[in-house]
Amino acid sequence: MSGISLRSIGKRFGETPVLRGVSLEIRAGEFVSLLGPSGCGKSTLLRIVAGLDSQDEGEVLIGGRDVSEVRPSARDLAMVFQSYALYPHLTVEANMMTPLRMRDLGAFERLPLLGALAPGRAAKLAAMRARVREVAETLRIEPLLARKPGQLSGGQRQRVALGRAMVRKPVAFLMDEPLSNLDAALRVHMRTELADLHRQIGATFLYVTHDQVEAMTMSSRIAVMLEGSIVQVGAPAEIYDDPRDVRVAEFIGSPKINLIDAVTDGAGQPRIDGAGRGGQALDCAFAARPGAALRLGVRPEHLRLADPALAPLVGRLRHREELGAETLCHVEVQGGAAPLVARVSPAAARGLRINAPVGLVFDLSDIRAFDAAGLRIEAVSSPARAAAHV
Amino acid sequence: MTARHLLPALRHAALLSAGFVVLLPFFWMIATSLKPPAEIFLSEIRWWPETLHVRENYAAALEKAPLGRYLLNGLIVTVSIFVLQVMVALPAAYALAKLRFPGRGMLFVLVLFGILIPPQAIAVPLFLLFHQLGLLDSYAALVLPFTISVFGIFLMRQFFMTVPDDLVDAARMDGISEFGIVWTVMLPTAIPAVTAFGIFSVVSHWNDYFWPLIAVNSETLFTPPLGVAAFRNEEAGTDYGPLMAAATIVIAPLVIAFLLAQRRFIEGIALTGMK
Repeated sequence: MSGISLRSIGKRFGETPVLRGVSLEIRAGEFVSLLGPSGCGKSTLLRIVAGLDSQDEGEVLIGGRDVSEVRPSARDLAMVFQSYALYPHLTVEANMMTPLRMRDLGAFERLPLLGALAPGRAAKLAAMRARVREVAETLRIEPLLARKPGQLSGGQRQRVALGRAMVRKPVAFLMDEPLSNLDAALRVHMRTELADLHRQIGATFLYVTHDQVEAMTMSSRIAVMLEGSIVQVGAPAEIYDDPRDVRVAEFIGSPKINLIDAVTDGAGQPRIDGAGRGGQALDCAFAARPGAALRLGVRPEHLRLADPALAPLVGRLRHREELGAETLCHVEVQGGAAPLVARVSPAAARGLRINAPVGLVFDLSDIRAFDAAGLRIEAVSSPARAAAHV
Repeated sequence: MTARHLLPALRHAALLSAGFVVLLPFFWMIATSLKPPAEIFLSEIRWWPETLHVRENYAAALEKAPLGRYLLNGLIVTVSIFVLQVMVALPAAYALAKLRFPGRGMLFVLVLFGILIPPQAIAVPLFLLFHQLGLLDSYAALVLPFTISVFGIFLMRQFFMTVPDDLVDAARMDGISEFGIVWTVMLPTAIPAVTAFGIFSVVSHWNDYFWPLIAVNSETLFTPPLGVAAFRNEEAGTDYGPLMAAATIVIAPLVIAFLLAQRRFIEGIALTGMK
């Protein structure tokens, strides 16, 4: 078990930069997710860590050792692929044995027929079989050992792929969207299992996904990647509550965070253009120049329905999604680009008709403000837990 | 009969007549190999002999020429060619399909160009080369010119393109070398394609008359087609019964092999998308 350090990794395919100076510290035993939309370079980064691709600049350190020149197998990492990549012609047991055979048997011992003549081979094979059984037991796949991958379901193949990764006791596990080929129910189940497995074996996990729920539920830390750079690294709650970039704020959270355009006045107080009651300034201030355009982010669960006469945001109910435990209200605000989504209790939304006028309120402390370039702007002052009533 | 029934009927009629045209010579060969000389030269068409002359014709075929030797030669030559072709084509196809290196596209284009060159076009330079090397009139002369099959490289490359990259990467993570990947990962997944290629290769080299005719002189090296032809030229010029019996014996292994591998063959062709 070792930590992995990435130091300003750069990679380009032809003229197109795919990774732009990515640095990341993964401590031993941590579960770190690389989260980002497809095409952001997260899989390329994982392949560079694995040694399947080489970086154009920067270095990869595993357990403090620079492995840039080390072959993939000699890095002592294990990788689980999205397509599982099991050897289709081998049984489950032989699949799981392969990494051990390659590591523990010499070239002569691996020869068919002749290899049997090598002294000590039988003992090695017995040890390898025992290890495979042990892992199969952990993953509860012993009954499948004699089958071939073609006879397994998606979830079973997933486990076998995990097993093949585990037998070697690698210093770290690399996972490339391992759950995305599973159906929804199984994916939820496997999330828990993977998190359990991580706690159980305590190894370092580097997990690539585009699914924020996977990243949020399993990781100790999330590194959000966008357009070839890591934009923010932090614990799931930190990424959610304290996004440093508007793209992070938008990428994490479902439904998406609401963004409201505003302009700061002389005191740094934001004024929501055109909305609500004549665009009065909100009673909080941000570190921005007067007249600067701001985008105020408010999570759907932080919006509450209120009397239109008193609310800073007023609009009409466009659509209502009943999700059982909660209701999503899509409210079209005058002058707003997209409808705002409020996540409210079904009781609060009951009786509201489509097109009815609706007021929205929020706590000033729940506002996350971003400048025109998308960077987060800190609040200078905001009353603790005060609703933005006018 | 409505148009809905007419169309399939026409289609089957067309296929049946095409099948008839293809099968007729084979049928005629077998029928002739069973006939006594008197019935062979009848002016009417007789589909099946009235008196069977099986033992006489086949015994004559086996006696008059060392057919067994020719069949063995055919086996040695086709199997050696196929094994060597696979040993060259698989690594080459793997490199063209799964490795990234400068000039890969150009190399593949050259492979495609190679397919366009008919073997007859290079027969004379090849003959001179083997003469210089002193390899004429040997098994090597029969085998070596065909060990690099551009068609084989192309066929296997197309198949390998469909093998997921993840499988290759997984093998690399497990510590299997690049050559190891070719033989222990790619070959087992490519069995249908290799079988299809094997049938192409074996059929064309078993039946090849042109190159063995140029390359060998000694009767001990004759491949089956040469043997049958020599058979006709020497004694049995007009003795068609034994000649057809010899031809039947020569073709039988191919037909049997094809029937055994038929399912795999069609799988392989379907997989590579070639018809």
